Amino acid sequence: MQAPRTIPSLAGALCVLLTATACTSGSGAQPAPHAPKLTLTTPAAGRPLDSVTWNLPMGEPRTLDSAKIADYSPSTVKANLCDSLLRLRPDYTTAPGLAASWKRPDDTTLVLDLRKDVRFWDGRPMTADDVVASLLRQQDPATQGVNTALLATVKTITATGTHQVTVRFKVPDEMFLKSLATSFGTVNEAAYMKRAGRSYGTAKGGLMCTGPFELDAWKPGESITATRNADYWDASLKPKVRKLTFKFITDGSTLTSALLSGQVDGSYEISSSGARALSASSVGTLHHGPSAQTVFIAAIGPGSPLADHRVAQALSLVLDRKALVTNVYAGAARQLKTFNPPLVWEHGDAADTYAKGYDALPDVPEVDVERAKKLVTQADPARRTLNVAVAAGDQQSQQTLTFLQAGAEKISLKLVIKQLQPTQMSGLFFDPSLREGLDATMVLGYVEIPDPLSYAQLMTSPTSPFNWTDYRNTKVTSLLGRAQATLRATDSAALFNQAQALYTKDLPVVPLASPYERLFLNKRLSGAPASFAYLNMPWAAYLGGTGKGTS
Amino acid sequence: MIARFVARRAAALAVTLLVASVAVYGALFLSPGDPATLLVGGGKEPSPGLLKEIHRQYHLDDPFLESYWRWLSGIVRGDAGESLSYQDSVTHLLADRAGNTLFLIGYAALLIVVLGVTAGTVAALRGRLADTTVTVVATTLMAVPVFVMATLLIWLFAVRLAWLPAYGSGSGFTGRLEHLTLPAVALAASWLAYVAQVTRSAVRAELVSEHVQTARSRGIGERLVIRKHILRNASAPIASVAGVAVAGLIAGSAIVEQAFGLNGVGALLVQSAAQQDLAVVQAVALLTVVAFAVINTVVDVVTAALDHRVPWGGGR
Repeated sequence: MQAPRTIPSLAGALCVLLTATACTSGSGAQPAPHAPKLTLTTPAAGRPLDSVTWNLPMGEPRTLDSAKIADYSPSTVKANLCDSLLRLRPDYTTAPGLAASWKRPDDTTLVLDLRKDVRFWDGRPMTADDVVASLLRQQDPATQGVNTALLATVKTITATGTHQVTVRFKVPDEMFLKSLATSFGTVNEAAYMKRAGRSYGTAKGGLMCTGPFELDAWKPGESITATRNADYWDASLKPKVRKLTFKFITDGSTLTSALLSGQVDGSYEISSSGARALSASSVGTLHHGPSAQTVFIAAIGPGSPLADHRVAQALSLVLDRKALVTNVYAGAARQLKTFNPPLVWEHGDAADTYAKGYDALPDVPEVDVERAKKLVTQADPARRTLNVAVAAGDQQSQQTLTFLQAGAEKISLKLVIKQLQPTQMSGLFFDPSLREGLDATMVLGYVEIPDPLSYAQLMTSPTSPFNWTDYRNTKVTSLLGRAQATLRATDSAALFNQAQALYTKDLPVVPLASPYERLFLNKRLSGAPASFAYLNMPWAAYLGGTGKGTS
Repeated sequence: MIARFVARRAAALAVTLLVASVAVYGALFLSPGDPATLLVGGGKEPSPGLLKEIHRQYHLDDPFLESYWRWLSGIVRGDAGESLSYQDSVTHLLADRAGNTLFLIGYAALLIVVLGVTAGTVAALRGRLADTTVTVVATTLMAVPVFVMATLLIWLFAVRLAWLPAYGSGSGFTGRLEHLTLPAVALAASWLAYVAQVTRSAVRAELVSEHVQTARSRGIGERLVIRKHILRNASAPIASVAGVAVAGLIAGSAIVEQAFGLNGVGALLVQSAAQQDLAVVQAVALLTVVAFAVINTVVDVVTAALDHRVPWGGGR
C-alpha cells in the first residue's frame, strides 16, 4: 500500500492524496517512443566480492525499525538486514520467507508455519514468540508504527507452537497475507526489541534480525555498514559480498560523479539527469526495470477548482504525456490509465482478471484542447488559478508541472508552482492550516503490497487520512471492501475491477506517468534485481562480481 | 593595555552572542511547518496522538521564553539538546562532524594564506608578466561561484583524470588530505584570489614608500628590504583580509560539504534546517556565530600587534 513521496530526500513518503482518477486514457500500457528495454533482474553473478559501496539517493534513513519504515532509503537497507514472513519476488509475486508455508482452515483463520532452522544474528533461534511480538507491537501506540491500519481486521495473533503462529480475523481479509511480504511482516528479535525500547532501529539502538547481512556500524551522516551473515538460513541466497557500505549522497551531480569515478558502485532511483550521463559511460550499466511508482496530481481540499472532476479531466486532456515522458523522464516512464501500475498485479494469481479490468478502462487521452475548453466552461470554476505545491528542489516534479502549466494556459487556467520546504510539505498531511492557499500537489507514490486494492483504498476511502476533497463514492467503497473480504483471488479481482472502473471515471487524482525503476551498476558487479520490488527483497544478497573492472 | 583591549572585545563578543542566540532561536520558532510530521512515516495512516506525543517529547509546544531558557541553560552546561531527526544528542552529532569541517577549513585557510600571499607578492615584485598572470587568474577565480568551482574540479580531477576522489571525507590524516584537497581548493579559490590582490596592492604601496626608498638608497640588500621593510609593513592589511577570508570559509563550507558529500557541520546545518531540526540548527548557528566573532577578535588583536599605528584603546 503505500506510499507516496513528494520529497526526494524526505522520508516519509508522505504523500498520498486523494481521489480518484479517471480520465486518463490513452494508450494505456504502451511504452513511450525510444522506451528502454525493461528487465526484472540483471545477469546473475558468481564471484565473491570483498566490498561494495552503495548509495541511498533519498538520504540517510532516520530509523531501520521495520514498524516505522515507509520510505525509499530505510527500506532499501532494511530489506537486506531483516527478513519478512513472506518474500517479494522481482515480478511482484510472493514466495515463502520466514514462514515456510501457510494454510487457512477457515475464512477467518490463517496459520503460518515458520521455518525451524532460522537464527538471529546473535545465534538465538527464531520462534513464534518473535513473530507475534513483531506483529503485535505495531498495534501499540507507543511504537509509533505506520502500519496499524493493516491490523484493523485482526482479532488475535497467537503462538500455537514453537514454530507456528495463528492469526484470527474479525472478517476475512485477502490483503493481510500479501502485506506480510512488506516491512509490516518483518520479524525482529523480541528480547532485543524490548531491551532497546524507543531506540530500536536507530544508530544508537541497533537491530536484531535474521537477514543475509548484519548491521555492523552506523555512523550518522557518514555511512551504514553491513557485513555478510555467514550462517544465513537460505542456502540459495548466501551473500557473495563480504561488506556492504551505504552512503547518503542526495545531490544528483555529486552522485553521478561518484558513480562515474567508481567510488560508488551502484544505486537505485537514478534521476533523469544522472541517467543521461551514466548511460553513455563505460564505467557500468544503467538498467531499467518495471516499477510500481506513479506520479500524479491531486486536489488538496474541497474548495480546489481541481476537486471538480471536469476541471481535473480538462487538465488531463491538455497534458502532452508523450512529450512529458520523452523530455522529463528521458523515455523511462509509461503512460497509465489509472494510478495502480500493472506490475502490482500482472504476474500474480488473478493476472488475467486484472488485465481485463485494466484493458476495459478508457484509453489515456490524446491532447484535446477543444474538449478541455468545453469541460472548463461547464465547470466554470470561480477561480481559474491553481496553486500547486511541490517540494523545493524536486526538479522532476517542477519540470512536470511546467508541462502541465503550458497545457493549462491553453484553457485559461493559471497554474502557479509553489515550492514548499520539507516540513511544510510533510505538514500538509496533518495540518489543514498549511493547506490554505493551495489547490493541489504533485505526488510520487509507490505501491508496496502486491495487491492493487491497497492503493485504491488509500486514494478513495472516505476515511483515508489523505482524502482531503471529501471524495466519496459509496459504490466504490463497498466494492473495495467486498474485494478485500473475498479470499478467492479471481473473485476479489473482479470486484476490484468494478470499483476501478468507477473511480477511474471520477478522477480523484490525475495520473501523469509511471516512471521506470533505474538502477546503475558498476561493471565489476551484477546480479541485483532491476525491478522496483527491490524495496522489499534482499537485493544485495544477489549481488556479486563479474570479474571486470577494478574500481 | 592589551588585556583591557581583549577584555572589551570579549564583552562585546558575549553581547553579540546573546543577541544572536535570541535571533537564531526566534527565527526557527516563526518558520512554518511542523518538524514532527517528518518523523511520521508518510503515506500511511497516522495514528492519533502520535504527533502530540512527539511534540511532548521534544517540547515543541512550549512557550518561547520557557524553551529558550531551557535551551540556553542547557548550552551553558554543555548540553545542546536532542536532535529530532537523528534521535541523538546534538553534542554527539557535532563532535562526530567537527573534525571534518575543521580539517577542511584549516586546509583551505592554509591555501589562502600561503598561496594568496605568495602569488600577490610575486605579482608585485616580479615584473609585468607575473603581474598580469596573477591578476588575470585572480580576477577569473573571484568571478567563479563556489558550487561551479566544485563541479568543475570534480569533473576534471575526479571523473576525467581520476586523480582524486569525487566525494566523501576519508579517514586518517592521509585519507583526509586526499579526500579534502578538491573541496579545500573549491572553498579557497575565490578568497585566495582576493588575498592575492590585496597583497599585491599592499606590497606595491610599500615599494614606492619613502622608507623603502631610503633603505634602498642606503644600499641595504634587496632581500632584506623586501623582508624587513616591505612585507612587514604590508602584513597588517594582509592579516586583516586573510582573517575575513577565513571567517568567510565557515559560511562557504556548507556549500562545499554538500557538493562533495562531506559529512561535516555545514552539511548537517543545511540538512537540519530543511527539516527544522531545531536543536541542531540552533547549536550550529550559535557555533558559527561564535567562530566568526572569535576569528574577528583575533584578527583585530593581531592587526593591532602588527601595526603600531592602531592604538590599543582604539575604537574598532
